[in-house]
Amino acid sequence: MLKKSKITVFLIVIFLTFLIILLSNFGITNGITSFFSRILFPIQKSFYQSFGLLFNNQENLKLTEENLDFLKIKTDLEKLEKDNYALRDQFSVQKPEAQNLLPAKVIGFPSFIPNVSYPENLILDKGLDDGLKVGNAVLYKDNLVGKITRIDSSKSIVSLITNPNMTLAVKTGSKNAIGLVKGLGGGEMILGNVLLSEPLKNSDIVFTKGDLNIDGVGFPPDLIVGKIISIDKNPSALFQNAEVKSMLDFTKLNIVFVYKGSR
Amino acid sequence: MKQWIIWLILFLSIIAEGTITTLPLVLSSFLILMVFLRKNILFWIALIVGLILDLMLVRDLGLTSVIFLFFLIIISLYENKFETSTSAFILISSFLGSLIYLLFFGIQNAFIQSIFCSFLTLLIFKLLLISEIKTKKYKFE
Repeated sequence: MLKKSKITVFLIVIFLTFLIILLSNFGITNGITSFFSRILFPIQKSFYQSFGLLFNNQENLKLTEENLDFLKIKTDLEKLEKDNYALRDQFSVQKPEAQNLLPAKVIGFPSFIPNVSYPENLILDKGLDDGLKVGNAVLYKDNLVGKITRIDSSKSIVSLITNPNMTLAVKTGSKNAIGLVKGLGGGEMILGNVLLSEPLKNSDIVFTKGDLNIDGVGFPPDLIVGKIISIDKNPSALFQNAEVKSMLDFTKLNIVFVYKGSR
Repeated sequence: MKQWIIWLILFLSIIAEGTITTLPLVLSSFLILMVFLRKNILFWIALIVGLILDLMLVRDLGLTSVIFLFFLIIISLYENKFETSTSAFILISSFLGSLIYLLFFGIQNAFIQSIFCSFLTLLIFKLLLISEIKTKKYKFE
């Protein structure tokens, strides 16, 4: 008897669940979903921030910030030297301008266990209501973080550049060698499709080549993707590869900037 | 044993899974709830909690509930024939449940996470069992 009632309850609930899945696929539940997301979001955010305070050492965060500031200064100096100071002026520097950036707080790290796995995605507290779109680039202090791959009214999921699904066109800082950076997962990236004739060197900074479309969706040029840490050059191969490491520790990010495109 | 401890574990699991970890802690909590409480209302709670997790983790609405519901019905059908309050059952069912859950959602390191989660579930189960025995003993005295 008890078994029968259990199965009856299960069948009723599973029917309701499939009904919800069906309605959600047709977009009928969007309004309700958005309403409940707005209720849950502040709770999720406050808990995430509390956890963040527990796990992140403030001194380490400060040092990382300083390190990034120094890296920015270094790369700016390299650019100045390269162009011999003459051909550059303030307007020729293609950097995302402040008015095109939207700050967003990181409220979740799916598939991340501290010291066991590396995050492949971030969840941000901004979504469609804030004017974001799928494909918008996400950055932090001239460093590329990733791009928005899924979005709802108040939240968005960012695939990090180290995510195995990410591929982007890049150029190197010193000799402008062009190639493709592909995420390998676990915080690793590989620079491939670089012709053997192109010179690559260790510690070379890798920048985005830029692939913005007319709506400003995509990667803006000259964002730092990472630094070359090892090169794999085989004379019999068509292309050479290099291992690239991002300058950012994605697990420590609390705030990032979404590039909404130039207006 | 006070029931509120199990409900508190479920609440903390929802918070943890929705914010900082991908370990299927909610699934493990439902396993413990089913073993200790054996109530039909758990199916309704699984539906609601699954929807909450889908909203928090920006998943397609209802998918998590489906996994929870099938997991619960399998556990409850099993308990009609065999003893479920054993360490071996908790360890194996939480491992298999976690593995299927993690693979279904395409989460990395599914195997390691499942092992970790199953041992964590076993630990919580043992602690609850000890507290239950102590409570019964106290009442008897």
